[in-house]
Amino acid sequence: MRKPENTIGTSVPEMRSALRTHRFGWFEIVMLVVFVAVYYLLPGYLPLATQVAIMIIFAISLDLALGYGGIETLGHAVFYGIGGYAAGLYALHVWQEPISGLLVAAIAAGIFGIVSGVVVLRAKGLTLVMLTLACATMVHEFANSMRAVTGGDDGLSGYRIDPVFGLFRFDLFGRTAYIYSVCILVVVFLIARVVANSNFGLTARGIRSNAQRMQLLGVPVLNRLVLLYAISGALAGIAGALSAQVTKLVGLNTLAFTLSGNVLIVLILGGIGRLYGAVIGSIVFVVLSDRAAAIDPFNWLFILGGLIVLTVWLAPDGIAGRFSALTQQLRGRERKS
Amino acid sequence: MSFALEIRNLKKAFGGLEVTRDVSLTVAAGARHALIGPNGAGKSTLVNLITGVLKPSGGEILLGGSGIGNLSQAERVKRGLARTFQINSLFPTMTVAENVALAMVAHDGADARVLDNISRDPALAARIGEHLLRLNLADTADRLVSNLSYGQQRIVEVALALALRPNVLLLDEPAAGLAAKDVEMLLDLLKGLPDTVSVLIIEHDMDLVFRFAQTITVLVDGRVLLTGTPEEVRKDQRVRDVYLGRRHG
Repeated sequence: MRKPENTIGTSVPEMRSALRTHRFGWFEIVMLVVFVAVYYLLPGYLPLATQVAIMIIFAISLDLALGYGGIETLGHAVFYGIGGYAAGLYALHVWQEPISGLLVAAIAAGIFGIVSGVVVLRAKGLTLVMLTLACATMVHEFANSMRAVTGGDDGLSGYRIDPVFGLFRFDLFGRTAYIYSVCILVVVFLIARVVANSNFGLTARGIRSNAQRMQLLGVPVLNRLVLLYAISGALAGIAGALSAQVTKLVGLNTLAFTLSGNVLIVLILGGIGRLYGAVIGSIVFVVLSDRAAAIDPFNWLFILGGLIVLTVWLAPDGIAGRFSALTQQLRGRERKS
Repeated sequence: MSFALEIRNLKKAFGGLEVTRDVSLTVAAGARHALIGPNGAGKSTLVNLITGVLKPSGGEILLGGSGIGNLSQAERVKRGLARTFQINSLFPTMTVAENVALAMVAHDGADARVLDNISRDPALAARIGEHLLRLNLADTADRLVSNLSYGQQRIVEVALALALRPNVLLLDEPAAGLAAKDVEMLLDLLKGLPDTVSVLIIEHDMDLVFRFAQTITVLVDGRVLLTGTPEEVRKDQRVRDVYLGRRHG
């Protein structure tokens, strides 16, 4: 006999399914097919597709902080910028090997996440938003004033990056950069998925939902938020480092408010707290920005703004949220029929 | 004699307003102790002081003989103190199983583990299943808490606190807003708690209090008016006066 809807037993498999986690499905397969198809079918767009991959990594990092932990930030670019400068300076002064450059960037951004997190994460709501913004602005001004080290507003350049694994040289057409970025994206997605599905990911969702109650479950909320902020920062640092390695330039714009705002728009477009939202939102945002700028170089922001308003109006939970709701509706109809 | 919970001369003032005045109270190990009093007597404030949500202006709080006054809320929970809330304080966007998992993982000290996949832990899943079965919540495991009835949410409140395997359980008006049949279910649940759990219950439902508690403390205007057995409290003229409207200084 069929069980009533929403009624389950207490067996281990049933309890496991009640603990909702990310499971691999058709979405990952479609995305991999799309990334492979772009390489072969749209070779002229590889630099743009590389930007998409980097933006996805950056958006995933923000999704961990905001979507899972509820950390409201308008200064997430600080991690991207620190990662970019760390990777650039590392290549300029230490070693040009790219993978170790990513690790150095992740460590630098992660440490900044711990140090700044201990201070800013004591605040909530608008105060937290302003503190994260202030943090990013301070680092931006610091980078600007340290011209001898960072290149100031000219940016940091003049470094080279060795071939990946000593084999794959970065070419003019951006093929290696694209494959390299997509591979790092896959690794970052897997890391984010492990975090989201873990005990710690569950704790982060609990803190987002009701931080006061989490304290009274015996969870040191501030410590957990700092850890999440550091992990998120480290992943954002990897995104910044990737950008620095494939463009061979790190500018002050990597620390700017505009970038923090853009990645937040990406998540709102795609859907917060789903990981997939970061992927969909990044694709839509970067491709739309590019197309809108090509159609009308003077008023492209107006077009982009209009589309964002439309999306938020029609899909308040983002594109991934809308899609998920539609899927559930269809499943409901199937059950009824 | 060692007490599960001991409060000595506890005071709390908000500016010039004293809401907890020199309260002393002991809850014996395994006791079923109720705290009653009219609205504004300072009952919920006392629970907030014990759990560390509020800082006392003076006095001592001992859990199992050790002072906990300087500990954080989280540290007090780790020492075996759990509570429920007068107004539901759950995780509404998460399933019932996830709510219980949060408490269990926190109790195990495993809440920061990044590499442990919650849905691949059969031991955790089995524990959640047993816990929900014991509390008659098995068929709600995969439902979002926000979609449950109010009565079910009250039971989830208790389920969360019990998942912490506390030595002392503070129940802040657990029957508030419950239908009569849900109150019976709650009472059955509370009566079935093991003796290892000492319970301090704050409740306005006198029928529930007198059927559950072995000891009752009456709090009036932030002061302890009387502590005694249900029979002693029932017969006390001062308590009758308080509930019927006459006040005591």
